[in-house]
Amino acid sequence: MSDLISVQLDVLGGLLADLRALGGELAEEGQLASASAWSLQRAVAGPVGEEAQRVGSQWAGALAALSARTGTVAATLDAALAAYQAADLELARQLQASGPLRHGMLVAMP
Amino acid sequence: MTGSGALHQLAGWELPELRAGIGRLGGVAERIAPWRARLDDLGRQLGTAECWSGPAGSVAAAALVELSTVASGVSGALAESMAELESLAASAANAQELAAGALATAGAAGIALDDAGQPVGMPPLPGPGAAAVEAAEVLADRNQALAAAAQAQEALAAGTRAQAAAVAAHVPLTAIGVLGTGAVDFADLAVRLAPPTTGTPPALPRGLGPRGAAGWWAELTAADQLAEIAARPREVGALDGLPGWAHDRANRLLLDDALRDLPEGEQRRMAEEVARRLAAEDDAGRTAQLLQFDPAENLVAVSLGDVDTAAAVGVLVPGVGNTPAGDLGNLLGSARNVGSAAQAAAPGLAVATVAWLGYRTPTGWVSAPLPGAALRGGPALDRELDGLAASRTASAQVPAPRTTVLAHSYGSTVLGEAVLAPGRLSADAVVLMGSPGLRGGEAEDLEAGEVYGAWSFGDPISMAQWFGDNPSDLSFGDIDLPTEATQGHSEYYDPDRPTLAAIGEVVAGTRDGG
Repeated sequence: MSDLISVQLDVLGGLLADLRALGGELAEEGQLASASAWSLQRAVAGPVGEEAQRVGSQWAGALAALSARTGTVAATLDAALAAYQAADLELARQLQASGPLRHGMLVAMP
Repeated sequence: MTGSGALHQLAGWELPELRAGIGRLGGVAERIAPWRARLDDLGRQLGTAECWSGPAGSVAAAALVELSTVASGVSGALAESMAELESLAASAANAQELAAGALATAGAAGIALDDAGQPVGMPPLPGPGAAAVEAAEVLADRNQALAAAAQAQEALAAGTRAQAAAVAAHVPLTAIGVLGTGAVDFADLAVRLAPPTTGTPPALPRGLGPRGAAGWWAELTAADQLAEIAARPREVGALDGLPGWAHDRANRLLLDDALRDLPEGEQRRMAEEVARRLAAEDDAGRTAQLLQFDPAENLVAVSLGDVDTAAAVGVLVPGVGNTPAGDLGNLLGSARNVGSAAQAAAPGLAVATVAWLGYRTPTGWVSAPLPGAALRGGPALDRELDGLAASRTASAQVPAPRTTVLAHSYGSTVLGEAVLAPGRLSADAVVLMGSPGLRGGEAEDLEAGEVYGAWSFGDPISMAQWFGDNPSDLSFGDIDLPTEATQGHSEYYDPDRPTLAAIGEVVAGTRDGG
C-alpha cells in the first residue's frame, strides 16, 4: 500500500470527462452495429440474411458490454471524486468547529 | 427451397445495401483500435502518481487496464468476424449475379426455373416427324434451359458459401462468450479475455524491424504491454517501433536501476544528468519522454512533448563533441527553442522535439574526418525515424505527424548515411545547418519531400564540403533558410538569429516554399 494518498481533483475530473466521452462513443458504435445488422437482413432475404443479422447483433452486444463497463467505471470515479470533495469539506468544517482560529486565519468555505 | 435461400430470393438480394451494411460494420471494427489507444492513454494518465496515488488510484488504473484488455479481445474477434462478413459479401454478389443471369437466360427461352434451379415446362424433344426448323428451335430452347439450370446450380452453390460465411462470422464472437441472445455481461468477457496475469509475458519479437515491432506491440493487450515493460525494460526500451510512452516507461526503469547500481564514472554522470533533466521537466509539469537510454553505449534520446500524439515532430541530430553527460542540457535547450518557434509559427500545434544523442559523436574535429561515427550513426538514425513513423501508424490513434530532421554540423553527415541506409528516410523534411557535407547526395537525393539548408559566411564549416556536397554549393538544390553573415557555427538555434523562426516554420509545415 502506498504511503502517500493524493489526488489531483481537477485532473481526475478532466480524465473522467474523457472516459465518459469514450463510453458514449462506444455506445454509438453499438447502435450503429445494431442498425447495420437489420439492414443486412433486409438486403439479403432468407436464411443468410437472418444469420447475418444475428452476427450484427453479436457485434452490438459486445460493444454494448464494453460501453456499459466504461460507463460503470466512469460512474465509480465520479462517485470517488465527489467523495473526496465532500470529505475534504467535512474535514474543513470539523476543524473550524473544533475551536476558534486566530484572527486572519478564517477561510472561506463554499 | 435450399439451405441458403431459393433461387428467386438470391436474384432479389440487394447488394448495395448489403455492402453498405458490412462497410459500416467494418468502420466500427476499425475504430476500436484507436478507441483502445485513447483509453490506454487515459489509463496511463490516471495511473501516474501525480494524478492519483494510493490504493483507490491503483484499483482505478487496474480497472481501465482490464477494460482495455477486454476491448483488445473484442477488437480481435470483430476483425475475424469482419473477414467472414467480407467473404459473405463476395459470395452473395456472386450468387445474386448468377441467379439473375440464370433466370434471364431461362426466360429468354420461354422456360421457368423453380426455386431449386430446375427447368419448369421444358418442351419435349421433337419427334421424328417434326419439321427441321421447328426441331432446331425446340432443341435450342432446351439447351438454353439446361444452361440456365447449370448457372442456377452455381448460384445456389454461391448462396451456400454465403451462408457458410455468415455462420463462420459468429464463431469468433461466440468463442469469447458473446452468444447473440440476451445482454452480454462484461464480467463474462473479462473471465475469458482478461484472466489474471501469470507473470510470463509473451516473447519479444526478433528481427521484425520497426514496422513489425509496432504491429506486434499494438496487438498486445494493455496488461501484456505493462507486463512486458516490467519484465524486459532493456529490450522494450530499445525496440524501435514501439510508442514513446512505452520507451519512456521502460527506460525510466533502467534509469532508476542505473542511479542505484552504477559506480562513479562517466556512465553514472550520464545517468545523473538524464535524471536531472527529466526531473526538471516533470517538476514543471511538462511532458518529457526518455526514448532511449543506454549508459553502456553512452546513448540517450529525450523528447520534449509527446511523440505519440504530436502533430509535428522535430528530431535534432547534433554534431561533433556532444555527449549526454556534458551536452544534453544544451541540446534540450535547442529542442525547446525549436518547439517554441514551431508553436509560434502555428499556435496551438502539438509539437514534440527530440534531443537525439543516439550515436556517439566524434570527440572533436581531429577525429571528425573519420567516417566511423556517421557510418554507425546513420543507420541508427534511420531506424529511429522508421520506429517513430511505425509506432504512429500502428496505433492509429491520431494521424501520422509531420516529421522534420534537424541535422546540425556533423549531424548532417550522419543524416547522409541514414539516407544511404536501406529503405526510404521516414521524414517529411530535413534541415541541414552548418553542414560540412554529406555522402547522401544533393537535395533531390535525400528522400525527403522538402530539403532546407542554412549556412553562413561566419561559419567556415558550413562551406567546407569535407564529406560531400552541402547547401553552400549553389547547385545543391535545397531551399535556403535565412542566416546572418556574422552567424557562427553554433548559432542556428539562437533566438537572436533569424534561422530559428524559419526552422520553426519548417517543423510546423507553414514555411513558404515547403
